[in-house]
Amino acid sequence: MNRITVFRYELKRLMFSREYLLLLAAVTAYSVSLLRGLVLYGVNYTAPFSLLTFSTYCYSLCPFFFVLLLVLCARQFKTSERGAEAIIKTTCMPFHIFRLVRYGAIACAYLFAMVFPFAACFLFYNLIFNYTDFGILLLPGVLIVVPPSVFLFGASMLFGNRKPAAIYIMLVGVLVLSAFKIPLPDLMDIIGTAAVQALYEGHDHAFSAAFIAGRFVLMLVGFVSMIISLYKSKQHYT
Amino acid sequence: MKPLTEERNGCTRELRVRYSTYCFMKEYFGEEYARKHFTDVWSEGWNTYKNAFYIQRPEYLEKLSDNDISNITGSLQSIRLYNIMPLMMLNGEKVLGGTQAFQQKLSELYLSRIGQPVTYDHFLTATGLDREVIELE
Repeated sequence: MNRITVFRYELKRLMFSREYLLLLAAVTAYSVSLLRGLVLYGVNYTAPFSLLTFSTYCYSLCPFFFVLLLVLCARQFKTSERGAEAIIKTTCMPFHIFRLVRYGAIACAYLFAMVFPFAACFLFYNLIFNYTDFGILLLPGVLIVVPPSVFLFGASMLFGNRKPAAIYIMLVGVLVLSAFKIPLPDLMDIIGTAAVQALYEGHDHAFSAAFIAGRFVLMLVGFVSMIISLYKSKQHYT
Repeated sequence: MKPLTEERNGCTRELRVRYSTYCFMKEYFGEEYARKHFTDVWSEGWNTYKNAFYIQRPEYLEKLSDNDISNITGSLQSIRLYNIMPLMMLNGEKVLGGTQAFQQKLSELYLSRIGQPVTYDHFLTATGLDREVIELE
């Protein structure tokens, strides 16, 4: 079976699923409301395109991104999907390669949902304020959103493979952390609460070294979890 | 910077409340307490106001809708009313030679206008202060 064909099929299945479309609509609606109600005014009277405002925008969208990602991951461990795995095993494609293709499809669907609000924000800056210097904002935005996404993706694939309920526990954890704005130490600040709080209080004009180190740790743990989940799944099904 | 709208009805009432609360706290809990909980907070508000993006770059306001402009200026006016104007009153105290002299003028003003609105212009006339003299820099 052609890997690209499988990838396209999986991507189409994800992107046209009801959960994905509903969550994408929610992310879009929320990002528009943030642009109109938060970014336009500027956080703490800073510029709409200041680091603080843009970081707050990304931070506010994080729970939506992470819920979307975890829902996409949870789909992979539904009973019907697990049942289909027995059939997939009989094909010529090694199961861990199939898993990898699925990971790629989830990553692409997630990236599309993530890029959408970023693009909307940059378009907003350009149209309203004629601001085009997006480079300096892109890195903080990526630092806030991408490493915890990789971590959650890896962890959900690793634990979801053993116990699908683990993904829903992580989902609840993300919602509780973001709803109550629980600050975590910089090293494990998944939602970015402490980093944005520090920016808001004006202690720093950039992220702390511990926060940046934490982002690298999250990325590393995420990638390692992903690789282990591939290896474990191969062992489990052969 | 945007022009003052202290002439707005009710603003002197709010100002009087802020200033009298500050004076009461200074008298009751001491100068240190009043500084920490009032003047420092007002000074922080003044710093926020003068560094605010739409104060520094008012040309960007022209790009926004009337509703957004109204929301932004309303928010900035509230900083002016609750943080900057009390500091201006403290400047007025200094110019008039102290709290006692300033409060005497205020007392005369409010006694002369019982039951009538007191505008910022009434306040300036009664105290003999110039807008420019008490304005923060």
